[in-house]
Amino acid sequence: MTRKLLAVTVALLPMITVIACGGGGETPPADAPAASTPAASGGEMIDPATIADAGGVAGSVQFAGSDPELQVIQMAADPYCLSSHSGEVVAQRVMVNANGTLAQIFVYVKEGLEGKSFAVPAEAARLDQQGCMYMPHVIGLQTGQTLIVSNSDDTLHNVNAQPSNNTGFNIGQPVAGMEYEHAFENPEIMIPVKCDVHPWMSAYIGVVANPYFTITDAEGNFSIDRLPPGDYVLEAWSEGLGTQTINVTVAPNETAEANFSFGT
Amino acid sequence: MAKKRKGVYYYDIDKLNFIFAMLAIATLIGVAWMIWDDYAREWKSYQRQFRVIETEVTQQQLADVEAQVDQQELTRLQQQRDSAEESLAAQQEAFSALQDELVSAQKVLDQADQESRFAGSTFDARRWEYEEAAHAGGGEAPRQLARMEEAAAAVAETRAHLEEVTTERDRIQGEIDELLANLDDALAGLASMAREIERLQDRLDDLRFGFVYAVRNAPMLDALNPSLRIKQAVIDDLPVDLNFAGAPRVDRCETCHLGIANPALEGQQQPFAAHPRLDLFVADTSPHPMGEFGCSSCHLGKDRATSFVSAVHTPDSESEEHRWVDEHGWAPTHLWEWPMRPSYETEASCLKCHMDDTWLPDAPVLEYGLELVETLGCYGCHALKRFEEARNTGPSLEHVGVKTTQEWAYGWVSDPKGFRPDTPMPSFFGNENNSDEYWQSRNVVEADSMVAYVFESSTDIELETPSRGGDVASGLQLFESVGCQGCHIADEPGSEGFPTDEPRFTGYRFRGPNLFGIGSKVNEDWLYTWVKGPEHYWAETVMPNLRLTDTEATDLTAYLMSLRQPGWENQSLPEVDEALRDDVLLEYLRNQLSSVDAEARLAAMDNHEKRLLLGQQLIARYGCNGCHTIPGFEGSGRIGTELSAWGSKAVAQLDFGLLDLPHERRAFLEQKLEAPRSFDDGKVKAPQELTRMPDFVLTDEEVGAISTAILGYTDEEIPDSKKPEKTPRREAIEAGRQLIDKYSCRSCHILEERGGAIRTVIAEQGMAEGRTRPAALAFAPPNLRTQGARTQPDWLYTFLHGPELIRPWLSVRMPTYGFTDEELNTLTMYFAAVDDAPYPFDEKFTLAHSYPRDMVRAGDRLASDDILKCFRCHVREGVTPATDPSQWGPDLALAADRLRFEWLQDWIADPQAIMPGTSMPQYFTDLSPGSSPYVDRVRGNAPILDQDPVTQIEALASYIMSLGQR
Ligand SMILES: [Cu+2]
Repeated sequence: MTRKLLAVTVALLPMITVIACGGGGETPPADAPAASTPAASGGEMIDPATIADAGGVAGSVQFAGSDPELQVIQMAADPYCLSSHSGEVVAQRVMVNANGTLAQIFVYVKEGLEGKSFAVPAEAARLDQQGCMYMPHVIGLQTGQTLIVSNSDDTLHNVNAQPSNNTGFNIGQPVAGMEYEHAFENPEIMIPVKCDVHPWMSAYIGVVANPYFTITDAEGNFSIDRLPPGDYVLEAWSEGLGTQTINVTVAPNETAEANFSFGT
Repeated sequence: MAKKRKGVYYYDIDKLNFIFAMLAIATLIGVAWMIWDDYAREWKSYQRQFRVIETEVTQQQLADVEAQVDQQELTRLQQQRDSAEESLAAQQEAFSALQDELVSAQKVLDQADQESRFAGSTFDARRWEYEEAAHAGGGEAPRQLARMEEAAAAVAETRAHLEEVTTERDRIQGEIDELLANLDDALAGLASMAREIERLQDRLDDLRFGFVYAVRNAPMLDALNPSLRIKQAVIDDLPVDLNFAGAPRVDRCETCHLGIANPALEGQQQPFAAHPRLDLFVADTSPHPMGEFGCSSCHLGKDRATSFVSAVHTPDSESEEHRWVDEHGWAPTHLWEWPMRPSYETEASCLKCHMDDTWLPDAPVLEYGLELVETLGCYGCHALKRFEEARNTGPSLEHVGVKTTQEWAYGWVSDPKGFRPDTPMPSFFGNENNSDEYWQSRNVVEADSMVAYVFESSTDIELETPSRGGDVASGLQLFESVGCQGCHIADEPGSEGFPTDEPRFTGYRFRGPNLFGIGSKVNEDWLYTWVKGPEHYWAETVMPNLRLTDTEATDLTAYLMSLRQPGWENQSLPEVDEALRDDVLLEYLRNQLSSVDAEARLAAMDNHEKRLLLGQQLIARYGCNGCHTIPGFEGSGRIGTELSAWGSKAVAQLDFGLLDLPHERRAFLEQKLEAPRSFDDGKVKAPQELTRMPDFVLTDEEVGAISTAILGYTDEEIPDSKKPEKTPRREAIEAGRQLIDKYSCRSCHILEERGGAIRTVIAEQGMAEGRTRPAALAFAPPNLRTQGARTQPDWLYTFLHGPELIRPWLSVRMPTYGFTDEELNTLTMYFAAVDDAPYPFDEKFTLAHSYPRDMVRAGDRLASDDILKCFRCHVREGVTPATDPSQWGPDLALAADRLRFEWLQDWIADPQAIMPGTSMPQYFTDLSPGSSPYVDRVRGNAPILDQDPVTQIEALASYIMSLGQR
């Protein structure tokens, strides 16, 4: 049986070769970001790099409340942590910048991209533990994107991620240089991460189904680029101040403005 | 008629012909009609409809399967096939050469094989010749020996050759196989992907309405081999009760319920829906396959029926009944004792086989009903299987005089729900048949004399007195932290704090009485003595000893005494109508004495004596001793009907009184539970003839659940083969579960995935203090999942006997229960049995590990502050870590006596798998050999145990187990 099939195949071989070489030919543009695997969810596949008339949205996050009391972290319980900082360390809950804006606000496109899917970025995001603090404190991930949790401290941390809509983990990293990889499959705002050894340590992971997310900088600014023109709902998440949404319309080749303001 | 017949006939032939013709036609029509009527069965139309539905569903399944074909996998297999073929083609010449080689090698092999066999035969022959010659003696022997040795050499030679050519043939075959391996692999994969698709296509072919279908199912012809046919399951050992005779059960339900076993038909319209619990029923892989249990053994109804009405379906609601009347001409079937159970009652049938199952999580209504029967103490008056050994549901009244006052007790007996609306104690007075003017006075007389008897017969015991005034605030703090709230609430029903996440009566947090208003009920000394050691007042109580210090007990007492019900304080005993009391007592005396003697007896008694004697008579009548221990009533029987086979009671035997109720068991039972005294409505009865079942004031849901439970008590005899198998392991688990229920372990602990009611309270408190929920729950009593695999039986036994502190930082404490030796054994066996862990009298049981010194030393190094830093969180021989107490882990020095070595290794390897949500992190995320990241940093990063994670874990466990031993 197998032999017969073989004979037939041998006879058909030239034809197969012709068919195989007939298709394709076009190579992807050189500047397209390297994509590993297609995203799991179906729908129209969008490559932000090749949107012809892509626009964007940018703005800032103002703080209207009175300055929050800074909470000084007591690291005395672990001498290593204490020795790795020269001055006082304050909790990163509400980070008000010098210009009265807010840093560490997670801004992402919440609605408006239904039915579209995006390739999972090949680059991993990194959550590092430095001086018994998470770096960064707020981090964004696309669904399926690899998160590398690493420990730069020569002390014991455990990294306890407690999602409500994803598989979590609780791993121990007792020595410097350890790394652990994990990917979250479902969107979730936000996944809390804590260390049980150092109760002050906390980080938040935002998992979004699209690549349009960012975190405000030390001037309170953010910008999201390469959006297909359309109507979107933008959400800003703040640790301790809740969330806010803004409706924006992105016109072709233009950057829309969106400004958030959080009170207390 | 054209013309008349000639000749003389007695009858008019034409007329006769006409009549005969008509009769013949009528008969023909009759026969045709008969055949048609026999042919056109209701079930056949269902089977035809079902073919359409099954076709649709199968097409959908086919489409799904085709869509689900893993395109990547398919492409991969196709590519594998193509490239395998391609590479084969490229090596075509080598391949043919190999095949030729194989053929010739095989030839050589066959030849060698034959030669070897011949050589063997020659040797056998010559050996025989030599043996003969040697035996005969003479000069032949040496020559024959030489011939034999020559043959032996030939055997060795040919065998060596054979082995050589076999190896050669195998080598060539191997090369060919290797060349073909990829291709064969790909072809097998492709075939298996197509298998399900082919199966569905075949099924679709079967379902077609074609010529074959029409012929097979045509009238008359369908006697041969129809595709529309009655489907039945014959169950011999669960016979149908046909009034005194048992007939084999022949369930024909599947004739119409055609999709019952097809998971694709879940939620279909009836009668085609799949069974909603195929994991438990019907399916061959379930514990109750249809072929063994049938349908009507649980659902009841008429097993052999093949039409909607004759199957005795029972509607779930009035609206369903109306619909059925319209659609099927449904009417209740009289004279069939076993109508189908309405769907909300089906679980009742579980009980006949699962009578000995303590927990019935898959039959939640039945389980709830049985729990209510237990909590409300139905078995106090009615004998009931399952509850033969159950303890009294109410507290002992042997020493009630030191606990509360007669005044309070009078109010309580008259109207228990007035003091505590959620008490299981039912109301005996002021019900439908004893609320008129006469009874209002008589109720006072009755309640007063019963209280008098109880207090007269109560004996004093010594009480302790708190040495100082207690602090209410610290008492409250204790109440909220030490664990009281696992079993008690202290909130008025309906108030804000009253828990609604659990059912009243049976919820874990309702195991002890609601303490709301307790300060108006009991006296301070009693309460102080009680919280310090409940067993002193009542030896059989299940309330454990919390090992409170005097100070703690004083504060807790102060707090509890501050819970007041102002309306229930400073009460006085009622004014009793003495003449009426005389009448009532006379009535009772006449039960035993002649009127003259009764009157004489009455005249001889003083008021106090009358009061006591009447009280005693009434306690006997109302059966108070069914729930309470009352001196003088030891060993007296139950006053109600036995209910152990009530579910089989003939409906005709039930007395519905003058009530307008459907004549069904359930209707009777629900009425009995909702308004027990209503059966006296309109009846003329003497006082002692009145119905005396008290009113429990139940909700519809409670009534429904109790009814379902009682209806499950039938007199059916079930063969052991149909009941859950009684293995020693199962018996151990059941015995343990009964104790867990008795002592309400699940109020604090999660056991077999249920319970831990106190966690709600602890989470709320912790979150109010600013902790996250998981952090707050770190202060909750432990989840006992894998307890049997985790701990050593000896340790568990000792711990349960007298709890030691494993997590001293928790304020909630494991109380002392005063378990008997038997109970301790039952519990330790239970834990081992649940996890199927070895137990001391198991042959394989061994805990005597010796931990090799090098492993212990490696573990010590790994656990140290240089590497894993275990003692950043774990207590070590009493030394607590510097971190927050919510992060602390148990003292590792306790492990040697407490934990099992095997479990400890599993735990270190993956804590989340054993206890999801635990704060113990996973240190080894990759267990492949050589992958451990932990090296000896003090000794120049030297490898530890070849960096093998599994060995490192074993070393850690060895070290931890050795900690307490040193
Ligand atoms: Cu840490």
